[in-house]
Amino acid sequence: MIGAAPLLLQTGAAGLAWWRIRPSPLASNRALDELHQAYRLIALQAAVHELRVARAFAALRAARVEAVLAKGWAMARLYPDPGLRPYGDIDLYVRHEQHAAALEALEDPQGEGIDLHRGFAELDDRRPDELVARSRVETLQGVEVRVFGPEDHIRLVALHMLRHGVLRPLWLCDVALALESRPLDFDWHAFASGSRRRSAWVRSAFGLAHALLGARLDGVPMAEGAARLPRWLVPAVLRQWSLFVPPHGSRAPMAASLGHPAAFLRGLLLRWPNPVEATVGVGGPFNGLPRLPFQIGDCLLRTAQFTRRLVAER
Amino acid sequence: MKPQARADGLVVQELEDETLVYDLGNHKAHCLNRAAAAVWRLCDGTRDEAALARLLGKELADAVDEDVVRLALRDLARARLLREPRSARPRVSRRRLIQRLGQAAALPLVISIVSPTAAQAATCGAPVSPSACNAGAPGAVGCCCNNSKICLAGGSGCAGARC
Repeated sequence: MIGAAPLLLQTGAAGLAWWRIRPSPLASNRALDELHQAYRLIALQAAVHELRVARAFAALRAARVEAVLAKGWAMARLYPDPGLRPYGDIDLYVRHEQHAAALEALEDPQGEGIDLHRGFAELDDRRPDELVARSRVETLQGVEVRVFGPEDHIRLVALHMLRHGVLRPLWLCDVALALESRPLDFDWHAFASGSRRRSAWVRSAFGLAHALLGARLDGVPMAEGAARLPRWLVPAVLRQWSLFVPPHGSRAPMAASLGHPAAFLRGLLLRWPNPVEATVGVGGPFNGLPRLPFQIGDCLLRTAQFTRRLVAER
Repeated sequence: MKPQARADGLVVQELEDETLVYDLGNHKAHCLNRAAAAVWRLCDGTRDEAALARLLGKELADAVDEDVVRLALRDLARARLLREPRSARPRVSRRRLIQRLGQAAALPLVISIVSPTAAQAATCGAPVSPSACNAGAPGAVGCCCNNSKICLAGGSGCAGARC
């Protein structure tokens, strides 16, 4: 545990680790004090974050913009304690036509840590009316906050995790928790609506949560399929976790290193897609085929997008 | 002296056996153990130290020395969690109290929460404001500022490379 502490801290799992060891003699080990500190910090940041979420929703509602909150607090509230799940951004999703009004209502979204999504991102294979109809309203700091229904939120969280190559173990914990804490009236038909490829991806995410975290698949339709993962998948995820890669937001932008070959090469290597990220990036299946062609394809796709953006900016 | 707890500009998170407080004004975070949190909660501006000691004793199911209350008030005042900036100095130090009472764990304790270095990368999410970075807000160092610079340690503020 002591050897794993730095990795737990780096990956945001320190709060969970502290929660696990606190009733044991390990809790009094001074070498693990940082886990306790991290747990406290996460709990405190959660309280500050709740104020920001409430403030954002109040501002949007005053401007008659109805947003839906995902990830962040919407996920952390499922954990049994506020010190277990760190989060920073406030991910708000609004309909395309309301995006401009939302930006105006929020004044300084970036300063408040708000990531305002135009449209419904990973859920854009569903009709906005359906998403809003299935959404739930929770009360936070006296303000009504709208979150996605469980059938949609678990799909979004799983797709987000896969799109980023299962970079953080904590994201897999989210999938496992969302799966195991789903309500009794969870609508599997609604969950599976939309893109069949995405539904298949999410079932693989369930399989990963089962294989690596022991998440129960009782009552999950086609659970056998979910549990039958391609042989490369689990090793790829474990390898990703062993090479902690800085989060996207803290990497230096590629454009800044264009004039510096060594930095550019380093940046390229950092951005070489892992097999999961590549599969999702090119819209491929999680099957037994080798992943190198998917990785090359995804790399070419991103390079083309980067070049197009550079040209457009100049 | 009848101390009163501050409420404005503070975010409070109650945990099982400690209370966490974040000061939105100076971006400092504190952890109060059960005894310190109880004293803080009882400071309503109408109770002197003797009354606080009596009430604290009831809450902890044990007799409480007034010096224990003074110790708590000193620490709470230092953390700027009381309305009045000054508090009565305890007649004895924490060490002497521990020697006298033999129960370190029962003494009120207010500690500052310092962000573990390696945890900062994991809790970075939202950009921090330059003022929060300058004030050493928990979790700010190492994160991106909303002016696109990195928040540097040691009060150097948002500077250096673009993030």
